[in-house]
Amino acid sequence: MITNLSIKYTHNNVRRPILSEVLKTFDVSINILFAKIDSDLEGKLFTEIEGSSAEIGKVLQYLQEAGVEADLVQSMIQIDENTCVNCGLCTSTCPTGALAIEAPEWTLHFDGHRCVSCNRCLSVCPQRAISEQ
Amino acid sequence: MTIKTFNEINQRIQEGTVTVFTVDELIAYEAVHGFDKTLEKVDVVTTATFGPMCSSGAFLNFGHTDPPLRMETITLNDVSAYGGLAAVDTYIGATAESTEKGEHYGGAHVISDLVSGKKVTLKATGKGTDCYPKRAIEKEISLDDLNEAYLYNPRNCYQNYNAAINLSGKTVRTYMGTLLPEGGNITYSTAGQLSPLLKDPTYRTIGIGTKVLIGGAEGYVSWQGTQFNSGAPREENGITTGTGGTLALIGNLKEMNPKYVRASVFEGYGCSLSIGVGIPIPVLDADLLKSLLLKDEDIYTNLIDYSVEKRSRPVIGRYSYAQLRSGSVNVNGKEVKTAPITSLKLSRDVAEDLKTRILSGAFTLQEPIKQFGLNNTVKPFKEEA
Repeated sequence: MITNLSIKYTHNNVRRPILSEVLKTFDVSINILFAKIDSDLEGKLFTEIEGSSAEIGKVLQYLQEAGVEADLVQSMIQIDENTCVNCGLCTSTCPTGALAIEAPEWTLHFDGHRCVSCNRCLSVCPQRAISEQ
Repeated sequence: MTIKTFNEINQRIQEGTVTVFTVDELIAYEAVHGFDKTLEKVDVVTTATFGPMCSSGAFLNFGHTDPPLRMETITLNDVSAYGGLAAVDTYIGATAESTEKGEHYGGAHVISDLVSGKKVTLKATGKGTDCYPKRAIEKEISLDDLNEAYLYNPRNCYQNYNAAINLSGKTVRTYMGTLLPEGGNITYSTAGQLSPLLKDPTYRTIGIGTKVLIGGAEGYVSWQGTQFNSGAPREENGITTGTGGTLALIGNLKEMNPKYVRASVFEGYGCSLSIGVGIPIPVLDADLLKSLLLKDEDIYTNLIDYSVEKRSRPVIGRYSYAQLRSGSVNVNGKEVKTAPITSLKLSRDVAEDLKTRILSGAFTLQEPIKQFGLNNTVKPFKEEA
């Protein structure tokens, strides 16, 4: 299976090469889509992980034991349906087609599996209906 | 040539015998039953649009304080409003930006906050005169506290609008959204075949006095919109090749629905007010029905390069709304993704809402009391003497 894995580090473990340990220990491949460390030394990684569900389960357990917050998520964005007006402008800069609007309904569709959390849509949405989770 | 009049149709509305279709329903009905049957059957067609309309704003009257104050500098949630009217009247424009939050909060937000029932902070000062001795006030106010509050939008409902592309090497941020470099995307506006002025292209039934639905409330066309370009070049079907007519609209803010009055922010450009507007078009005769039956594939617009920093920007090509709605179009041999700015979903909701009101007898048609001219042109600003 391929799924998105979000990892959040604290200042206690941000210097530990945990991802490297995971790759050496488990039969999975990981593609880093987004990485950030802020001034408080708290870090965020957004990755795509491929492997058997059993192996991915072991990775999650390993990460949790290492003291980092790890979650299998669809993406890091969320859309407030009450604020969204279904204009479709966010689809204009979405590089993967995760955000789409089309006939006949012309309502916004979001496919979290295709989202790579580039976050371009956040500032493009005129209603500010899209935010980071 | 006339087969129906406004009066006859209004009578049918009051009797409950009127036939009202949205544009989409009209097109589907005609495809099955043919032109003549459609002409006979349908009395009114509802058109609508929901999108950002920057040239919008509201007149507000605050009532007098004791002792009275002539409000000469006025802000609402730190957004400047006009202080050059008598004592406690003001006009707040949609694109005015907050001194604290910049483009992220502006006049459009003040207006939509008021319609949503939220309180906003009024700060006003005056120099103090014998008539108006008070010099300052600061108070939270809501829509209910105001005497009058009405939208007066000098330019709404553009008849046709450019589609936008960016052929330069760097991203440009516009009121048409963020345009990616090297022709990376295209954005387009208007509700296409559902859009009011595209369905009555020579303004036979839309003129001064026409009753409309604006922000979910009954309102009126008060004048021709600014930059009214009725003399623009037209296709054989009457559609202007680029921008054409526009409407100045008025409506009571106190009767509006927050669903159809939304503040919008275009990163790097500023804020705007997105409004739902619905206009009923009576099927007076065959010519009008022909226009009403124009489909997205019959209506073309210009694709403009928005990276060119000139008033006149080059036309890259002409595309129908059906092509733009398909998700991508071919530009100089390359498939470019297209995305709308106007919400077709909310536009359709407005058209449905208007249809329901007419069918219930609550909304009758108002014949224009004055028609717009067909030869208006738009002058540029003359910078040289």
